[in-house]
Amino acid sequence: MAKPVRYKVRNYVKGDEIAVAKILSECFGPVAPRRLVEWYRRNDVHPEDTFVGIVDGKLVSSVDLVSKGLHHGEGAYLQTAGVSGVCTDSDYRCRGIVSNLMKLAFDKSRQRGLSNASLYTGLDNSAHRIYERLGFVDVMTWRTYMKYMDYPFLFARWLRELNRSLKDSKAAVKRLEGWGKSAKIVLKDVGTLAFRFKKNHFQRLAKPPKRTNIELSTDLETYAKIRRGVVQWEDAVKDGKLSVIKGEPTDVEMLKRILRWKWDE
Amino acid sequence: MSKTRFRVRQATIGDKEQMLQLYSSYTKHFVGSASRTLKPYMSMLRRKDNINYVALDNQDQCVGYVHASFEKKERTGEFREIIVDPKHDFEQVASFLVEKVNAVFAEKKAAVVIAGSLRNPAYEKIFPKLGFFESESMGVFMYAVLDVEKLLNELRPVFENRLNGTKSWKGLVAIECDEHSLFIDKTGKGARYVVWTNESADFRVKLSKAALTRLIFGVADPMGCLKNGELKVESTASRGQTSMLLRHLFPRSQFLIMDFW
Repeated sequence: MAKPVRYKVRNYVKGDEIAVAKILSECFGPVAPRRLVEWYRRNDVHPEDTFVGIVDGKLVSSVDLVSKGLHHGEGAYLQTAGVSGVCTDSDYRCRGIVSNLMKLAFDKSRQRGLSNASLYTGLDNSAHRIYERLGFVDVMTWRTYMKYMDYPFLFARWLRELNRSLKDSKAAVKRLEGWGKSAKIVLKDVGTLAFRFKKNHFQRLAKPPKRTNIELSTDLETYAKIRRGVVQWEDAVKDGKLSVIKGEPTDVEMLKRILRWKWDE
Repeated sequence: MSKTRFRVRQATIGDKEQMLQLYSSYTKHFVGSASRTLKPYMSMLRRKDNINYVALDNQDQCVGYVHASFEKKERTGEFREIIVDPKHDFEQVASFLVEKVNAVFAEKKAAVVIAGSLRNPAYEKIFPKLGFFESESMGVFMYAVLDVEKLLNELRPVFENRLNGTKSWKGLVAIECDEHSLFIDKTGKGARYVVWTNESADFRVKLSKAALTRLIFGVADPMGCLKNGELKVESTASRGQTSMLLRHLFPRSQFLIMDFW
C-alpha cells in the first residue's frame, strides 16, 4: 500500500467526463468524453450513480453503478448493482481510493434495497484481487470466436492503437523510454509483420530490416491468444507453438509487455 | 423441433416487440441474463452501423433474429446476439441468420469478425464450422452478495418452486447463510415460506456467501460443494434423499449473459 492521501468522494457533476475519460483511457485504452456521456445516457447512469475520488481538487478515481435485472432462475429477475468504469489515475493507485469508492457505492445500493452487485473484469487484471477482497466471487468466464480476414490491416491498426494508448499511459512511457528496438513476427499463413519503436512512437515496417532486434515465429491463433492473455508466452514456447529466433531476454520481455499492454507490476 | 422453411429479411423498427418477446422466451432457459425493455431494441434498430436480420416462418412470424455491428473505420464485424424461439431448432435458424450477416461482413470487407459469448452453448455448434477459432477469454463475470437476508428473501419463490418439484419429500427446510435463515415448509399442499420457527429443520443447508453465489447461478455442483465442505447439511433424510434435495434446490444451469456493463 502506497502512502495514504487525503481525498474527498462526491458524485459526478457535468464536466467530470473529461477527467474520467482520461483515466479510463489510461486503464482500458482510448475513450472520448463524448462517448462516455453517451454511455451514461444509454445505460441510465445518473449523476448520483457515479462516485469520484478527488485529491487536492483533481479527479483521480471513478466508479459507476448501472442497475440491471438479472435472471436468477425460475423467472425471478433480481435487481443487481452493476459496477462499471472502475478506474484510478496511475499516480494514485494502491491507496485504497477505489476500494473505498466501491464500498460507498455498495452502501448506497443497500440503501436503495439492492441485495447484490455484479461486474465484469479480467482474471489477469490487478483489480480482480481488489474485487475478491470486497467479497466478489468469480461466476463465469466467457468464450470468444474470432475469424481474421485481413491480419496485416489489424496489425497496422494495433500499432496505431498503441500510439494512442501511449499518450495516456504514464507507466508505459516510463518503461519504453530509450527502448529503440525493432521486432519481426513471422505468422504462418499470414506472412511477416514488423514494427519498430523509435522516438516514443510505434511504427509499422513494410519490410523488416536486415538486422531486427527481436524475431519470432508462431501461428496466428497462438499470437492472437497471447495478445489477449489467454495463452501465456512461456506455455506457447513450451508447446512448440512459438519460437523466439532472435532477441535479448530484456527485449523479449519488453515485447511481451507491449503485446499484452501490461505495465503494472 | 419443427423443420420449417424460413425467410430472412432485414429487421425494422416494427419488429421490436417480437424481438423482445423472443429474447424473453429464449433467456428464461438460462440464468444470468438481464431483463430488457423495448428501449435497447429501439437504439439497436436505429443505429446505422448495426446489422439486424430476422428469420420468419411461413406464417411471417418472427422465429429468430441476429444483431451484429460493423465498425467501418476498424473494419470489425461483431455478432452481438443471436436469439431463436426455443420452439425451433437453434442451429438451423441461427445458421441462416449468420450466413446472411457473414455475407454482409464480406461485402463490407471486414478484417476481423468476432462473436463473443458468456458460453452460449449454441455458438459452439455454429462458429467453429464457419472457420472461427475458439478462444477462452480472461474476462470474468463476478458477483457479490451485499445483503444476505434480502437476497434469501428475494430467492424465496425460486426455492419454493424448486421444492415443489420434490413430490414425495415433506419436511421443514432451512437454508442458512451468514447467520440468516430462510425457512420453507414442504407439506402435501406444496412448499410454503415460514417467517420464523424454533422447530428443528428436517433439512438444514449451511453455506457461505461464495458457495451460495455459485450455486444460485448453477455453476457449481451442490454435491461437490458438500464434499469439499463449502456446504454443510444437517438432516434426518437419507443419503439418497439429501442428494435429491440438494440437486432440486441447486440445479446445474446454463449461465448466459448478453448485456455487458
